Amino acid sequence: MVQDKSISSKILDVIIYVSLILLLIVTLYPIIYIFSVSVSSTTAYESGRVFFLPVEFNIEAYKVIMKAGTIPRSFVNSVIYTVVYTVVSLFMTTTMAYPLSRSKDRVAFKGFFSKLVIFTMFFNAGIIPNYLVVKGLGLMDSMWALILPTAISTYNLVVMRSFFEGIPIDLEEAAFIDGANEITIFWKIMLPLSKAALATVGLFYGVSMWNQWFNAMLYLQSDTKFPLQLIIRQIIMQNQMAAELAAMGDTSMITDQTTNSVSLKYATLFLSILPMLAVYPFIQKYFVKGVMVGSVKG
Amino acid sequence: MRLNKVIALSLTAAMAVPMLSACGKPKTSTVDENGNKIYSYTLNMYTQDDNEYPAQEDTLFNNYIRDKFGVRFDYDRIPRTDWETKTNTYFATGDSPDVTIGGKEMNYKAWGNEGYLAPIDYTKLPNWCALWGDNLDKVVSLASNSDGNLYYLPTVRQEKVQMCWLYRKDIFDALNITFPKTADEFVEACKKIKEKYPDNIVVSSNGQKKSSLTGFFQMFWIPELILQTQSCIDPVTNEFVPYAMASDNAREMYKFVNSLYKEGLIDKEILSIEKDNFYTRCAQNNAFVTYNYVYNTDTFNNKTNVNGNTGANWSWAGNMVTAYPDKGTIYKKDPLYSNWGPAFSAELGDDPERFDALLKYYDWCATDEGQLFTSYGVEGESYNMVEGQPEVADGWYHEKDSPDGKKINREYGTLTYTFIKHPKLFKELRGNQIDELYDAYMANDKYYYFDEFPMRYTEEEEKRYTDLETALNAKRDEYMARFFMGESDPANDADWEVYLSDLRKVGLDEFVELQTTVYERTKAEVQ
Repeated sequence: MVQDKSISSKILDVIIYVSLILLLIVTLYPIIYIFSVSVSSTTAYESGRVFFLPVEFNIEAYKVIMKAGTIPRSFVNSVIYTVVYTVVSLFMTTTMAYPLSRSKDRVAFKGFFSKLVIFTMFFNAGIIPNYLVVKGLGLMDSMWALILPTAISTYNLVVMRSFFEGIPIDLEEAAFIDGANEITIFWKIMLPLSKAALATVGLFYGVSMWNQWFNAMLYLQSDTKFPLQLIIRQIIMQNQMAAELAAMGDTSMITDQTTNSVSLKYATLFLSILPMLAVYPFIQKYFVKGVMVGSVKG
Repeated sequence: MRLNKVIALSLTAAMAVPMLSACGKPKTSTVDENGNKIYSYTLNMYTQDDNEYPAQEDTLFNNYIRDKFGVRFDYDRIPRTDWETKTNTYFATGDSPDVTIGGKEMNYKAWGNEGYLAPIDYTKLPNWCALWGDNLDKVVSLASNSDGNLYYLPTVRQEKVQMCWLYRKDIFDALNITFPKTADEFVEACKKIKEKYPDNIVVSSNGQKKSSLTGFFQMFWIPELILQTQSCIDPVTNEFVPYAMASDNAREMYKFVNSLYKEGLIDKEILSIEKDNFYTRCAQNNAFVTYNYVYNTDTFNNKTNVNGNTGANWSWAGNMVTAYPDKGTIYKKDPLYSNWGPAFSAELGDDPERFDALLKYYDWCATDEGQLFTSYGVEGESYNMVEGQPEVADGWYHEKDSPDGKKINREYGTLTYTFIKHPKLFKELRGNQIDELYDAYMANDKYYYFDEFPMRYTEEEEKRYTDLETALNAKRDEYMARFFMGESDPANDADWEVYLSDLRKVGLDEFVELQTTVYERTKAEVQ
């Protein structure tokens, strides 16, 4: 590429750099602010003195979190749910996407199953039927209530199917000639060639489970099994709820004993975004490639 | 091929086993080692923190009520923020808990209408009835559904009053002004403070959104809870006002707040401010007057005496403010009962033996012995009687004491249920401020409160009421913001007419007719 050294081009470069820097600030500022409040004193925050850097630095909120046990325990729960969910979902998605990507001659009722999958993109049974299914299967208050009902995302399935369709059929034919069966081809040829798609779809699954709270709220009863996001939601909702209840004459949440300090709230929020911040850079290279899967043909 | 069949069979079995295991119903009764029948109940409750409920099934509480009444609970403890969604799902899916203790009257009335709850024959609960004295009929009437059935057992409201004007007494004293008694004096006081502190906010709110404005409502003879009740009966004239927020008094109230807003005397974010923002206001000397709970003065002082501030002294005013001094002054008297308490599933109601065993336990909770138990636990263990009064034993604590030791709530599960706190515990938790505030109000002449009236709707009327109320509330809230913020001028006849016209478009006239009809009919029935 020939470098354009004209003044207009340089001005454009400056505008681009300034815009990107502004975008960077807009993106980073909330994270820095959350961290700063979490390590500042409540008084400093309530006095309106925390804008960017911590004021009256202390890590009391993090100590309280570690001592209380609820948040570390829910953090571990979230990690377990996310890892297990991602593995189970990837297994189920790829094992369904692969046959649907093959020709009709090799897969019976392929058209029917494809339509069945697409159908679920537009029609959802809703909360009550889902609840009845989970209860009927005896999954209530177990990790599997969060994992199995949503193990296959139709969108991710379509992405994986498109990716598999893009892999040349010649590779499979060569493997067949060498004596490989369907499972060997899938396991030893298709999956190793699909790392980018697996990373992307795995990230989609991982992030969706990490941010999941509604199903956990509905299906889990033991607080020792609650994921982090459910705990965070409770912390954040408390103040709002106190006001709503007070309006109805219930003052039980109005005193400060039942509400969490601001630094505690922000420390929990900061902890919740850490894992995604830590994981994302390592799979970013796959991610860019993976999101393009199926978008360009030929 | 054979392997494939084995795999297929294994997977089928793996699915079938949990399905079959989930088909069984839990046992609802067992027999203990002495041959006594023990009834089991699922108990749905909300929790606010980890410390407030029985930690495990063999708590002292569970053992005590099992031995005394032959009942035991299996707890489903739901975080308060999720309680309503989750419990609604339980009922809608037929997975009803035997006992629910987290609901409000509006929940119970709705679930009662849907047929999810069992009607309660409260005459089987003589001790609970005795809690109300002469007010029993009124309480039952107010708490019952339009079908005449009572679907939950209300709780005694021990607070007589709680709400009042709170103000920075140090600032008022320095400026040599007393807390105002009339609306005109209120404006004058605010202006004097503004003169001294031109860059500061005078009147703010601690994040209760619209409810923080209710001090102004009462100033103009509109009930504090009007945003929920819509209608009221004037305590002096006995006139029924079917939709108070469209009345002349409401217009005067809007004009008053609008003028405070225009003169910079009231927080410009009063309708959206959060609690945290209010504390920031306190720390920055941006709040001198607010309408709030009498027992919040200590919290506000703590939030204000920071950043080098030392002399801040939030105090409660012993008087309310009125715009009509000749007519009198309105204060908020707390209702006869708290609109929450235990409710029972329709399925439990279909099993009279189990239901009656449980009602017997709940009736006992209302006795003096039960009050003592639900407030202090068991004598000789968690408390001792000293000079006729219970004293928490060493190693035990209530929520306001040191958290080192056993918490009475957690060990004795008192949240399952306390209809009335033991007077000593109530005083320990709330202090003397409530009594002092009540006495201060009563020392004034011509002090009135809006009494509750049990509107008895038919099922059809109730549905229509809900639809109309939703539509009217949306318009009302929109115009409340516009009037307060000056986007519309309530003093301008044209603007006020537009407001009324918009309310009429969403059914104001029908609502007024409905409320008037129900009021007249109920009044005739009650008399």
